[in-house]
Amino acid sequence: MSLFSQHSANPNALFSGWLLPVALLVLLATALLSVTQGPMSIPVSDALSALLPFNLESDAPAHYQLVVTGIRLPRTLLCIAVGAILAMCGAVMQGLFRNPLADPGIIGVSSGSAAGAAIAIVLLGLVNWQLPDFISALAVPLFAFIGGFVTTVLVYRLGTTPNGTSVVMMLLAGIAVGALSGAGIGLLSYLANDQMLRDLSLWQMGSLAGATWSNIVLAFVTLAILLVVFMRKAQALNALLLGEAEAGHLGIQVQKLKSQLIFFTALGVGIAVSVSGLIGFVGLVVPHLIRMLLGPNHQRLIPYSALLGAALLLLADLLSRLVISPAELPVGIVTALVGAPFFIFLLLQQRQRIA
Amino acid sequence: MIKRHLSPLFSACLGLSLIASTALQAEPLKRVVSAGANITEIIIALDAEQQIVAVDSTSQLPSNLSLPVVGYHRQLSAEGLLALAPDAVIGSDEMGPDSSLNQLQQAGVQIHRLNSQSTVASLEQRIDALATLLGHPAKATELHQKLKQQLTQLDEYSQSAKPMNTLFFMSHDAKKLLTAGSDTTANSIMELAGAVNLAKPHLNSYKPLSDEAILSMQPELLLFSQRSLDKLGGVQGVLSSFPVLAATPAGKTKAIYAIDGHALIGGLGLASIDEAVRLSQRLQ
Repeated sequence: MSLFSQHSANPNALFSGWLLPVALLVLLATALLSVTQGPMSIPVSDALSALLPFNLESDAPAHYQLVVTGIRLPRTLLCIAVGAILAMCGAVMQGLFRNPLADPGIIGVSSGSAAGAAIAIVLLGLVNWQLPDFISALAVPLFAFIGGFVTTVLVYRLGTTPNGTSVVMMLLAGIAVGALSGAGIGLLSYLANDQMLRDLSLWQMGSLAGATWSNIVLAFVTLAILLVVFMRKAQALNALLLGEAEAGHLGIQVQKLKSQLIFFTALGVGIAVSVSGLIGFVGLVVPHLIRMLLGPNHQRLIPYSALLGAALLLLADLLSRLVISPAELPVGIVTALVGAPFFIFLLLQQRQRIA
Repeated sequence: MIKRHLSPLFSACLGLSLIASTALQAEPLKRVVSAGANITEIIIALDAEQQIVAVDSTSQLPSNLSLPVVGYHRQLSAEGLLALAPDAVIGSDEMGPDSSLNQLQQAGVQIHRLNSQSTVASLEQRIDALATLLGHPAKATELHQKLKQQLTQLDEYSQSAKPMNTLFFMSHDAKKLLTAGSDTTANSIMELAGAVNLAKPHLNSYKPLSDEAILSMQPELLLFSQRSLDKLGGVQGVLSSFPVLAATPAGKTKAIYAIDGHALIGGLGLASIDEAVRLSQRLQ
């Protein structure tokens, strides 16, 4: 895996020096940008004072308060959590598979979630039960999560033999399950009416517009759990870079490590997808950037991916709100537009290094 | 339940919006976002286009009018709309998402949802509702009269003419045909014009129909959207692209007509009625 460049990182320098303050500053700056900028032009000072818990004496229009704390702030917070989760899960998945191309898409989480969402949008729409509002509002995220989770478990089972989990088998199983989910979505789109089709395609493009406080709490709780779990496994992931047999010789229970990490990445991606739809490339690009900057040590890779993932998604979301204002672009389109060329650039650089 | 979470400031906004909506009959709306093809069409027919500040992406505007587009009407952005400082957002019951609409309402913007059914009665309701909201009663009466006259005309035609077995197609390339089933504006147009939509019992919305099914239905008239027909190269193009159509009674007599695509978007509207009248005249 030549993309894992062989920098020797000093684990003792993990949170020391200028790195952490700079990363936090970048995140804070992008978060402030996200809260102060938007289609409605609100003076920065008014936007910031709207965030304060007490009311400053000001003659700012009352709706500024609503726009900043009711519309922008929830979005900003959800962006931070989702961006961090996706980037962290990407970093862990790439380490786990020892494959720099690993991405939630590859083990079927995304396509499984999309199939789940399609079931919720189309089938629940067709049977037309009169469900209470709060349940029907939860149906799509819940089904998306279940879909992502079921496919991950399925792919993992298909890839696991008594001799261990084969990465190649899992990737192939991921492709097969992805195709199956695709067929399921196709079948459901055939049954769907125009309105459901529109809902489905919008959902698949991802958006953070649906930020609610319950979503935000869910995402941050997930983020906290993942951060703890992944950091505790960071050393083991480092050892895994040497190869599974080698990691085993170092006293790591490789099989257990893999199933735990797959469970938690599926949980993370499933929840991220359920609150925001499909947002690609954050999990793929961010860990690469961090690896280029800081080396492959997972103890740094994981937390800094989280910080950068959050900052990048904030910027992408800001773009999605501003580019075609007063309309809004789905953020998944922005991340793909920015992420895919960047990824090609990375590949070209890598190719030169090999040549 | 919503109120519990609101700060006093939000409640004040909410209160303001309630006052605004009670005062609504007296004061016509001045800055309206029209989130629906059908609604924009009626507003323009009411000569009230000066009162629109933005439209959604499904709306068709006359060429001399250019307005900001707020995106698809099911995916409205609360802040983007607020930035236009509208009095009201008027859309169909499909308009969304609810989170955006709630936020707009909290900011004092009125939300009006008009029904989106494909019936003449619902179209008349929409005209009345918009005329009240925007304050154009005289123009609305005029529209109603025209509509009534058109419907009488349609009624007369369909009584005198023999009902014709019809299929409506859309086609984006020369390989695939989508047939209009029930719950489509094309279906409503066919029925208003006194034609029988053969696909209605079998399909809803636009779905592909098998060649054998098309043949066995023996349609006497084929309808295409104008754009599909232009793309396929007119009647000759259709017949050579789709041999199965050439083998139907309609294909043999070259009974292939075009329907203006604008009349098909966004439910049954004024343009749809015009198209129905035009079609019924051709069926005589």
